[in-house]
Amino acid sequence: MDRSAWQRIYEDAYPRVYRALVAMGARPDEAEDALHDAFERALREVRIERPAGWLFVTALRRWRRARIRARLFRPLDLLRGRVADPPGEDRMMLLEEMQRLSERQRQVIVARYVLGLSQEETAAQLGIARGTVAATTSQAAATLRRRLGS
Amino acid sequence: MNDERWLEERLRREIAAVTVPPPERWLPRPERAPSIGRVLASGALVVILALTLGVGLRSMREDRAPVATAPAATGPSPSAPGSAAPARSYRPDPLSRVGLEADVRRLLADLRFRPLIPDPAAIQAPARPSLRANCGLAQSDCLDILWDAPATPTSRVLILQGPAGCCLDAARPNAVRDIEIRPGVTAQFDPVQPQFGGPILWWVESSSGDAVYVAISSPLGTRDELVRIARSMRSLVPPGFRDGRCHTGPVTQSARNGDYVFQTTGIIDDRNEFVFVVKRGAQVGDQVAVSITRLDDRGRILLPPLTAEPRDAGRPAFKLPIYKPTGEGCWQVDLIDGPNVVSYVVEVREP
Repeated sequence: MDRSAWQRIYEDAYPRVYRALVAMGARPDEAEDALHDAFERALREVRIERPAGWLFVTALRRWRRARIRARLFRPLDLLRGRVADPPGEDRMMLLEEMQRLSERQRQVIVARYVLGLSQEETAAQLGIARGTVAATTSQAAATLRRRLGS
Repeated sequence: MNDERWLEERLRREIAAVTVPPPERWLPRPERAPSIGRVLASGALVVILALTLGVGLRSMREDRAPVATAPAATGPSPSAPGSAAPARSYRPDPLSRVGLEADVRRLLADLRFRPLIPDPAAIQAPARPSLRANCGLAQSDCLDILWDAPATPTSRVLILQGPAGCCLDAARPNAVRDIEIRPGVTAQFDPVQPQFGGPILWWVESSSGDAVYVAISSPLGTRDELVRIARSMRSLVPPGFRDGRCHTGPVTQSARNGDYVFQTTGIIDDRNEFVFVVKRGAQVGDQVAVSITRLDDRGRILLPPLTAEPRDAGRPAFKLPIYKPTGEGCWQVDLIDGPNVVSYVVEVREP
């Protein structure tokens, strides 16, 4: 892949995948580290279909493993630090509430609504059936709406 | 609006408020034509690298020669997965233990637990202790001990210690559990991959009274190496209080061999409040720091620096006030004199 193609992938995928990782519960520094690792890995791949989805899944795996390590080594108070709430009433209540969902539910709704993948693309990236994507999305949306009372 | 549409709109709105790092932190740097200066600099770099490589190869040959004939007693050489570098002979610095102990003792006043230190024969390299501030739930400092594994200089080994409960202690499902470190002390081994910092061996040590969380990790460390380091670790507090009794007297060699003479019977009371310490070659005006640690209970006192003053026949001595700042019990006096820590155990008795 030539340099300009890489530049396009960076510009398109970086903000989306970074935000997707934060939505999954990563701290900003963790999201950045995991995403850099994923891009480094991507450089070794010959060809990547749907770079954003591939980077998301790869970075997610990296972040999850790094987080497990951090649980052993990092003092608890650091683990609690997440995205700071913006001032005012517009708190990130949905992002907070999402952390109570199962990891699979979070992966699906982040892939669908943060990365903007279709049901088919989400199913392919996460290695699950399309019907599972549809059902999981529906369940997660209903749960979140009920809990947030909107 | 159905649930999915509601979720999509709301999630997009919230996620847009998450700040993404500025592009200069993650975009590839633009290519630039090399300037004449950079070409010259890179040429010079090649020359320097060639010279360094030549010198390095020569010294490596010299270093390796004795290894072929040396007995295997130079100590175990940690294996390094993926590393083809030949193991170099390494002679443990006899001062490294003194150095590490002295350095850790200086940090004791900031710790709420009694740390363990590894034996130099197990680590074979100078180690650097440092404090990690506000460590977890305990809200006190933790202790880091860090060194480079000698056989694999790129591999750092880190020991983190904190009060039990400071850090999350849950074992992962694929961890190897219950590895015996010593009777009654078992550790968990978590085989984390090198790119995530390497495997971790952790346990909670309560054999020295205070429960201490200990975690050892190294990117290229093997389970056997980490276990070997763990088994070499001992509580920093020397055995001045054993079997429920206070064993008064010198603890360190320098307190026995006449370098530092503690003028005391080992019993301190209201008629015998001070301990005078005569140091070989001391001059009037020399200064030392003193830390007094209770061995049969918790407690540590740091005295302000003491200055050597003339005493018997004009010989300078340090006058250590023991009785007033302490209470009844078994106490270890650590006299910190530059890189040396000189230890002596006394028993304080109330009338």
